[in-house]
Amino acid sequence: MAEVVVKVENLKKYFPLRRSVVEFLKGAPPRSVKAVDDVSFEIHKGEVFALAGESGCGKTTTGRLIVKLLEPTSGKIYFNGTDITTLSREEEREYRKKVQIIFQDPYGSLNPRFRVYNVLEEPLILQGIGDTRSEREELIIRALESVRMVPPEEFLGRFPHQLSGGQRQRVAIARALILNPEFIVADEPVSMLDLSIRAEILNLMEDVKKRFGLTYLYITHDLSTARYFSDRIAIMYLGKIVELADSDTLVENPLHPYTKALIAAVPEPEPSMKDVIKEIPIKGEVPSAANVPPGCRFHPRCPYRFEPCDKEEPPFIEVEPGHWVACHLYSKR
Amino acid sequence: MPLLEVRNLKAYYLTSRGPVKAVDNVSFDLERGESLGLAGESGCGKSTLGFALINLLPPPGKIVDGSIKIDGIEVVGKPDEELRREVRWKKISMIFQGAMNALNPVLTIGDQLSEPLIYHQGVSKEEATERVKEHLELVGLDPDIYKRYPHELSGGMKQRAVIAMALLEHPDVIIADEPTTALDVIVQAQILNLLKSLKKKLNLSIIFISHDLAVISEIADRLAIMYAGEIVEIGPSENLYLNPRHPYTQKLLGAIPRLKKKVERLEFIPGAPPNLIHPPSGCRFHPRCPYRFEPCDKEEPPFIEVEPGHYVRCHLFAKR
Amino acid sequence: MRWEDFKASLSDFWFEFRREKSGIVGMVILIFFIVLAVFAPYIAPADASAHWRDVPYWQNLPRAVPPAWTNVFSTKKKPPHLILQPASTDVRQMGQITENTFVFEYDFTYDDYPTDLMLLISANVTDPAKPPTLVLTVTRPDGTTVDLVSTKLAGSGVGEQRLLISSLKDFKARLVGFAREYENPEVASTLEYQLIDPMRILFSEAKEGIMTAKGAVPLKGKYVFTAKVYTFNPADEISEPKLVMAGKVYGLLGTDTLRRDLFSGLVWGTRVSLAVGIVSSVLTTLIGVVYGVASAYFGGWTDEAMQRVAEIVASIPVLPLLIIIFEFYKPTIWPVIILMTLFSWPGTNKVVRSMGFQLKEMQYVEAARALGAGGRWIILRHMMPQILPYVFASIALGVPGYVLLEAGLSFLGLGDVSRVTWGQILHDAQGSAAALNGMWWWVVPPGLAIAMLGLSFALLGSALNKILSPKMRTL
Repeated sequence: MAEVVVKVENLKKYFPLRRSVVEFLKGAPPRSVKAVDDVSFEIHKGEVFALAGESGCGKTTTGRLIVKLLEPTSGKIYFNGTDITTLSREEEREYRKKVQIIFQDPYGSLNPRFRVYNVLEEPLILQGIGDTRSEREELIIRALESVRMVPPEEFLGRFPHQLSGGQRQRVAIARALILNPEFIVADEPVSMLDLSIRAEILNLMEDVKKRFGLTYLYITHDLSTARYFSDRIAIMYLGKIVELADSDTLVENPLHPYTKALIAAVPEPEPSMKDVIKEIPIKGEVPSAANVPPGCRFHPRCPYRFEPCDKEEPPFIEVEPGHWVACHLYSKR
Repeated sequence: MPLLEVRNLKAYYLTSRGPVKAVDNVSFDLERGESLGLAGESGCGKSTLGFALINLLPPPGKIVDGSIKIDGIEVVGKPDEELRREVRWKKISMIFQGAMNALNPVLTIGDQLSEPLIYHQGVSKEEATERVKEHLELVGLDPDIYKRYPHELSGGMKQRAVIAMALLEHPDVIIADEPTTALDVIVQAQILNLLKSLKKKLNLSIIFISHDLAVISEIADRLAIMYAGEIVEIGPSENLYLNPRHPYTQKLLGAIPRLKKKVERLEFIPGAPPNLIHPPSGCRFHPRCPYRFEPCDKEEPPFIEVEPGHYVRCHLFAKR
Repeated sequence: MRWEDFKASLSDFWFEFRREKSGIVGMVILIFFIVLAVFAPYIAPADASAHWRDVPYWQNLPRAVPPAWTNVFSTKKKPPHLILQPASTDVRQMGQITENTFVFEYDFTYDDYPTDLMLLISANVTDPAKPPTLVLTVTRPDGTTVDLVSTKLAGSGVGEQRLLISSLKDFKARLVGFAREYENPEVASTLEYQLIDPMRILFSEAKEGIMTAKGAVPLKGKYVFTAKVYTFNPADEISEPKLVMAGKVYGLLGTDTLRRDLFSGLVWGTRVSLAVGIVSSVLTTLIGVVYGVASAYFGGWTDEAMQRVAEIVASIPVLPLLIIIFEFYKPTIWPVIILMTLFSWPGTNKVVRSMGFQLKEMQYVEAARALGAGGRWIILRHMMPQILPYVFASIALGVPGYVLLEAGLSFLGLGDVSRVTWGQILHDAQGSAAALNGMWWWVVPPGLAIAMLGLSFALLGSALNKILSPKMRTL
């Protein structure tokens, strides 16, 4: 088995909710949004691991926990075997060099007052790389070349609003690459881009991965790009992973009722569906993460629910090698 | 006679740096009960076309030329007062992009929906309430939603309420601008199902604007592809999806990742859409086109019927 | 930030600033005021500010007259303020008595009359019991000679004396007597004595109508005033006689009802107003910005505590507090500035805090944090530049406010009375109902100065905004 780069163990992140004065006086217990609730997985070296799910499922929070933009409520995150939840200042600095994040919004992730040069210089200054301006400029030009912004000199002086969406996202990728990281969290990197550019950015990410030996955590709501881009996919629902398998298996042979519904709902660019009312096996929408149902959290929407579902949490079991699912339908009993 | 007839429509944004030709020389027809998908990348003019059709272009946008006939009524140049009385919302209405997040948070759903009926149509309060409840049921909502506030509803329910609002005055044509973009896949599928069933039930004509060709394929009888303010290809969905002619359409379809089909390497279109103040000469796509040849940067390509009902704006198909 | 980087960014900044016309205009206005403030002692009398409230200091000037340049726009030419030096001097000894004769020549070519006639003279008198006597006569262009006054000078002391001749009873009585010879007796008998202007008689044609404002016709030509001063002790000395024709127009900006030269006031006021306005506004904004950004950045309980403190400060009634403080301490300008600043920052703090909260959530701030940026970096590099345009706007908009606040404090007797400020000029104008009485030259210049100072900052602010937020440039 390949080397494990990132290992997440029983990771939890609860955001406390403010109690109203009345609740406070009545002595109601403090409530919280369970954004990530007991999540465990491993990411292997050189793979693209996708976390997919609907909005509010906790996939983005998980990504932020891994890059230490948030502190977990409990649980462990290991990077190359080291627990990163208890790092000294110096170790944290070192960690931030190796782990990078690419954000969803290429408009919001670049400071509008920074020129491309400043955007790419920032990580170098923060990590104390390159002593002179010319040394840093050299690195910046190389980073721009690696994301195919050529000739790089033409872009150095531009402001973000003078770039197209695709170019902006490429600058964001260059910013992540300039520190020579080992692992990149890509949080919906293409969801705000136009279709014709989406493939370009995904292909670019694929290329730099091969070139620099990177490992990705790909966070997305879009199963189609997840299948195209990633090796394994984990489906999250209300803060938990409900199914995990390699991409092809997960799409072609989904086990969890929620995964099945998601896959059924994804539209294909084929006109055969236009007069058909599509069968969607599940009804309703995702409940609030402040109000998680007991037992299996999917049970209120599940068409196959039976007796244990609303009482016991289903265990996460390996149904076939590498294919995990959290559903009572597959528990041995 | 088609229900909606658009001829040589030009809608420009008259800015200080020159007119932005967001919709340039667009013509198409729409039959009753038919759905037309309008696809293209951001900035191609598809939303502007939607606003122009309902004559609600945000300033400095203006229809500078062309004709729009809805049910035989010419709306270009018609005074706004008459438009409001006879056409807008009654013949043609629109589901605005992001409208579900623009609901007034301090009014109940019922108040927001019945207000235009009471103030613009002079309908009595009881009748308006009745009509709103009817329409809420039509879009698959519990009529009790009438008394709820927007924050009490989920995204899918809000989008249903917005659709109900667009249907209140029984329009023949409904323009849906990215109606599923902010929604999760499952809710998106539910909304698409709703639009399909409404189309059948009410014999509604739908113009479905989206950047997502996969979503459009679920609903569109015919498909129009826009690029840089122009329709570059239009025709029956089957023809376009299965046998696209225009290089842009081909590339765009090649760029879509499929869930159920494994693709090794997706294609993409290098470059970016042009500036619409100074669009490229000749064919607007020629700087990004892999098949460009001698006339492309000089002459504007004609609109050619390559098979019945399937038109392409490309020199490759021009008879010479 | 290294020095070379700083230099490079400064030259970049200047390069972009030069292209912003509005910024250049604002800069020019501001520089104009700064020059006025710095060179005030050279542009206006050096002691004008210190003597602003010293009424006798200004007595040589005319009272409440418009600027001299108003003559250009008027068909009726008004006499300017003139100080005449003697054309000839003669001393005659007659025993113990010395006769000093001074002859002044005045070219009167105006359509209106001077307001006052004054004699300034230095007399060194040895025996206070024997003060010198002055006899003043005039020979008018029509050849008539009138004895104007015969009076005693002050008998004691050394130094300059000031004799307001036109207000002496004798002066008026003699001129009225002179005029009666020409005036229609019927008219003369009905006239109210109080309303007769002796200066008008002095400079009018000797014919019917001389006593009335309507009938009098200015007699243009050369007037020769002869002042004879008799001293009764050989040791007495008379020197530096000057005859003042208090005009109907004066200087660049006229005078107020206390005869003060408004131009001097305005120039000197620039200094204090600029200092008060800019220093208070800058200090207030800086405190508010630093406090607000810090509060937003740290968030949570720190933010709660900091905001409660700010609210308490904001709710302290400043004016009563200032009144009490200044009961015990004589106010000068710096404590006023500091106290105004100490109580005004919470407003800025609130706005900046809310901006800070928004900025903190921006993805590029998160991106910087993911790259290992600490609080200082994020605040200085990411948050401050976004807040900066607001800071400049806030400073610019604050300046006129503090100029007015200072004026308001002056009105309550809480200002620094040892200096002149624009606010005080305006306040005095208000007290004398200057606007109602048509004395625009008293109201408009200081008002305009405040407005221009505010405008200069607003223009600078908008130019900086364009440079600092590049997106706006494309719009």
